[in-house]
Amino acid sequence: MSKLQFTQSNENGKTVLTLNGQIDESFPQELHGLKPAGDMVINLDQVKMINSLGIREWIKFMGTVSAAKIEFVKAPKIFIDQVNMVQGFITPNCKITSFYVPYFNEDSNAEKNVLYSQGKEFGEGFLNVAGSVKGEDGSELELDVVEQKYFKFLKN
Amino acid sequence: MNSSIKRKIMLLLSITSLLSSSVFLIYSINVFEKDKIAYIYDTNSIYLETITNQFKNELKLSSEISKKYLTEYQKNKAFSSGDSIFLDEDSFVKGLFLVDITNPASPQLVDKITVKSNFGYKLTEDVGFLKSVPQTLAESKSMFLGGELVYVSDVVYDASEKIALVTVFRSDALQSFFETDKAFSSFMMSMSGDVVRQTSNLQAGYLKEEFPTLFTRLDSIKMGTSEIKSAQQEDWLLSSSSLGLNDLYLVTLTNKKEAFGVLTYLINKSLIVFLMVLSGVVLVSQFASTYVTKQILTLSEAAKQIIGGNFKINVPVKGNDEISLLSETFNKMAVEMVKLLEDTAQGARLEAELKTAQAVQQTLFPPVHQKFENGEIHGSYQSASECGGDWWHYFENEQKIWFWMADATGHGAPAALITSAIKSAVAMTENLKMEPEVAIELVNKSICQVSKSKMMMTCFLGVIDKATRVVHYVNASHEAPFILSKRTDLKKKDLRFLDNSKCNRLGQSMTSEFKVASEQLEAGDRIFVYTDGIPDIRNKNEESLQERGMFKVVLENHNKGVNVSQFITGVHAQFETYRENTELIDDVTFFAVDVL
Repeated sequence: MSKLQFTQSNENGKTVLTLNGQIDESFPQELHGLKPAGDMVINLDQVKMINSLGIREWIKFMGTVSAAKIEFVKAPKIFIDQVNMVQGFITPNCKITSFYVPYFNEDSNAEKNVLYSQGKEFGEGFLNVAGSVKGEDGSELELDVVEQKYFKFLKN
Repeated sequence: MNSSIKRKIMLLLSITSLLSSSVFLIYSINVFEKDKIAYIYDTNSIYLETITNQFKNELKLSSEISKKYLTEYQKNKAFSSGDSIFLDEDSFVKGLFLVDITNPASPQLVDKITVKSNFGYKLTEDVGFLKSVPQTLAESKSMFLGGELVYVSDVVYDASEKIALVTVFRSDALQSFFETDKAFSSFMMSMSGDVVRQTSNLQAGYLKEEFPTLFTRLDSIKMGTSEIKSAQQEDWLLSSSSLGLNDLYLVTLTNKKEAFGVLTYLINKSLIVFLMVLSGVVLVSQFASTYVTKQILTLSEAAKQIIGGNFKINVPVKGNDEISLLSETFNKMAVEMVKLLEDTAQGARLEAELKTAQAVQQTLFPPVHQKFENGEIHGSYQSASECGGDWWHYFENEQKIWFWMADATGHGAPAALITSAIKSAVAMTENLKMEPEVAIELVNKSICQVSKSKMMMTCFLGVIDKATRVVHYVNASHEAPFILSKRTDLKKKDLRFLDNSKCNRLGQSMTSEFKVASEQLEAGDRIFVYTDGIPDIRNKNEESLQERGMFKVVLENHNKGVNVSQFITGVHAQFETYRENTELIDDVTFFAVDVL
């Protein structure tokens, strides 16, 4: 497993932070000193794993960037699970604008992560969960999470 | 083993030296022998050639002098010396004799002129000399006169006056040839086998007596240089050269053994030097092998010391060769062994301490199965290491069944220490009548004081009111338990999650607030509580079970309609089957509470 790496850039006046790897005890200390000038976008597409020691570091990181408006994009399932479970995993100044929803075919073991985006699959007062999607091989993939549990963060 | 290596080194060096020296010696002797033979042959040939050339020059000079005197005599009827009847003392020609051979049978001396002294051979008084003159003339030969010195007479002839002039000169070339101080014997002989003259110290007939084979093949004297065997079967070197006069040859005979005496001497000397060098090599080999084996013996002694338990040794490092490198490495190894032993001892202590901690931690867990009034609980706990960070507990308090599930950050000894803290804190709340949120708040403060915010725990507390079958729960960021109804055809979507309480983890803050949530249960409902180690269970292909797999196993076993003990045992068995004895990534703890 690879240590968490990050890149930082500016796009349209926003600080864009792209994370890659696993969130664990090797969390980069530079991120604890990060002071975004304005709004910040955190791309989580390549985050592979989060463990209990990483959660502590992450919550600490959330505290350092609490002054900025944070938008999470392409959040993987492991991130959404922690959002649903851990108090303070994301702070009130944060919102998730896109996240992955896993689908699975038990017969073929085919998997697919479908990106749900704000304004499209979910938004203020609505959530359109597809019970199944077509896989790349044309097979029917079923929702691989418990809907009641997985989408709970959208209600808070 | 030591002597064996020593002997091997000595043998190796000695044999190598012996072989290389022997090859060199044999090659050198062979080359030298060939060179020496060629040298001896060449030297003899050149010597004889020089002698014969010198003699030919003497003969030529004698002839010219004879002609001059004969011309003078023919002109003056007397030798030009006038009133002197003597030649100069240093004259090449020692005597001139004028012989009338009108009657060849009785030649008469007409006149003579000689050096005044040192011409001891009185030719005029030798009748044989005068008598041989006509025959010598007839055969166009020269005469070799006897005596200690070698005199040669050359004869010129005036046919009109029947006068012959005999010129006698001393041949320094032949004189030198027949001197006795040579390493060889000298002979003058004809092709008919007559020995005209030989080295004076030899007895008459020596050649024929000692070398009879020479006379059976006289042609061999024309061959220059060849080998010949003596009557005693000794090898001799025969060299010869034509004198260019009277069909005569100069012959030398050299004893081959004596001629090659220098070579034999040289070979003997070489052998002595060879043996000395070999002895030197053996001594050096002895020294070298002793030096090497001494170092090895030192290392061997040091190794014995280590075997005996003495690790504080230091082998002296001398020089900068492979042995010294080995000694240096040995010392490093000894240091590392001491360190390793200390580490091992420390590891053993730690292991013993961990086993003690493990034994102690086992006391923190309740019995895996318990029946209550209106309820039954069964659990399972597996640690990823000696001590785990998961903890579960239950107790009955009046009309309520309390059950706890906690998971410390990380696992191992530090996490295990926190579990003991929560056990102590929870034990204090058991006999107090308090609400779940108050109880967990007290436990949180206790954890905060113990961990100083360095370690945290997720925790789930459920309290079932046996009278109302309502479960009140507080979730401190733990995996949300779920309710399985008593139906046996449940699917994932039928699960009801206890996820309406989401609070800070224990140990995160002293001021954390804990919100309680409630859920109405029915008889036959089953609450499944677990830690996040379950989805992380991996098989041999390092494939995680995942949440999907966990739900599948739980639903399969629940839908069998078995009691809580059989359910937990079945779930555990399936997890074990999936794991295939691979190591756990995280502690795996789960239990189920059946509401009766």
